[in-house]
Amino acid sequence: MSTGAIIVAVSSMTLLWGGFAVCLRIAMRDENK
Amino acid sequence: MSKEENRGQWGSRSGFILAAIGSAIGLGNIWRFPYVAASNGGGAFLIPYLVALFTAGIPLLILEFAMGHKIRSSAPGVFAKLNKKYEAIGWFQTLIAFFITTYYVVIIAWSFSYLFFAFTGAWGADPKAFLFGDYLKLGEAPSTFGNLGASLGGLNLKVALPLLLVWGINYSVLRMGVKNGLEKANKIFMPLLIVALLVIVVRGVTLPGAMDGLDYFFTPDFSKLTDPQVWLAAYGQIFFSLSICFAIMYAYASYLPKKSDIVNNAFMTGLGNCSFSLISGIGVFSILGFMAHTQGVSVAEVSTAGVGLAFIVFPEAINQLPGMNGLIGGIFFVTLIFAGLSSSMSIMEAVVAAISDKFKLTRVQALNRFALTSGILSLLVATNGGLYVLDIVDYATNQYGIVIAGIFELVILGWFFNLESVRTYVNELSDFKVGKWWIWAIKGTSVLLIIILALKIKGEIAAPYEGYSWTALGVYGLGVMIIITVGSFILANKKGSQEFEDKIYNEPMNNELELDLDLD
Repeated sequence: MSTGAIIVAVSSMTLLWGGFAVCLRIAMRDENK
Repeated sequence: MSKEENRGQWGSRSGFILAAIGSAIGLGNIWRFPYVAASNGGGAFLIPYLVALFTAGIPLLILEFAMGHKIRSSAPGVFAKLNKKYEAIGWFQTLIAFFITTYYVVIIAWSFSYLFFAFTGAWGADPKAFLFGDYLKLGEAPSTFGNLGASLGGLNLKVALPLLLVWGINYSVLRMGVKNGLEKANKIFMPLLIVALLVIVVRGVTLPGAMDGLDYFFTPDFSKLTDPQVWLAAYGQIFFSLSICFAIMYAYASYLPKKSDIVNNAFMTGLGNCSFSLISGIGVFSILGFMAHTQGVSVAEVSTAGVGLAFIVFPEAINQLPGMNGLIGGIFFVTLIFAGLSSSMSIMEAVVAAISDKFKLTRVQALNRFALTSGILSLLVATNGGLYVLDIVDYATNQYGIVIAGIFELVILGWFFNLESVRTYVNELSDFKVGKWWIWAIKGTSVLLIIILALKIKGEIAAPYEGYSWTALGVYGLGVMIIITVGSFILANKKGSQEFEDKIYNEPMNNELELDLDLD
């Protein structure tokens, strides 16, 4: 894979999955909400 | 039992989030997103895609979650509560969901057949000939009024039998209700879907040529960012993949308990859906890279989307795998089945909830009426000419129906309703708050949808969709849209139950959401 492709792959995965994980962590404070 | 519990209510926050993500994740995440991304700048497409997610997708999810949660009704009730004159818009969205159901279940039925074929190798060396010939027994394309009937041909039992199974699964889940049916099914389907997709990804990236496929998918072509079509494609992809503007999210949010988060749930739904799409892209393009490598051609030459990708190109790729062909093929079709079922259940729920809410039928009574009519219509798509019907109805309902529904929804809510009151409402309830940008995101998306629709109509006049005759497009495309429009007004003007009249008509909203949290 080219360097550009690797950078895009890693950054987009980090942003989307990382964003999801952060939201999930906040949500887990109150499962009943 | 309270009124809310009687109507149905999610048992847990995770249950709602899984169901909402399950609704958003559908066949399009697997067979549309990777191709759209790769052909619109590859990795560079992810920039407009993410911008579209945060400026249109998530804001619209927040809006629909908020309205459904506050009004505690399905789409017709939500719009009627704003103004009785708007109820037809809710029914327009609901009837789009009704017609989408009729063909969506057929694609899941094909996937069940192909799950079986993956192990028997029934598609042989020429999956294209097998799909159109042996399996679908595709007849002549409809071209004139005279050959419409002949083009349909007879009922194809190879499709009708798995279709019965798909209806059986959906019916059983919906019959069990929100907490015991939809929530439990999604808690089973979604983890299995993720596991199945991860197996495909791991197998895909370890194949020779996979990196060429991933290069094709991820390598950014930043020059594409100056092309407005790429931005429209990104907004279109987000708009069509989040189950927004066709009644689903109103119904799902109406089952949330009073003390429920809105903003964070919308963020998780949007981010979860797009994260899944990205992983799908890795799985799809690693396998396409392997196929291109085996055939000695470029990845672009084997890159395609939709039915062609799932039922022609993937079977070809499965044929060429070095081992475990049946198992990997089976797992691929399992991902399609789970992604399809989690969406089809939500599309059906949107219709069942609307019928049940307005006419005060029990869930089972509403479900029986819906399943009978939609089930019979879906048989039309299980005929020898069903693929043509599917293709045109899908095009009409998605490219025109949902966009028109979205324009009405966003113009009414964005420009005539006090969105500031909605912002206050969601901020009081949610884990984190949205700023004033959210209001402009809603208003801006309404303008964008008008542009998308205008460009679509312009393109249609220049070249009819897929070269179909105007007769075929008129009967199956325009015909369905006319039925949806007329049906919306008929259903909006039908007398509702006393409870619906009291709750919705007799207590209209004064152009804003009242901050009546009543969280006890």
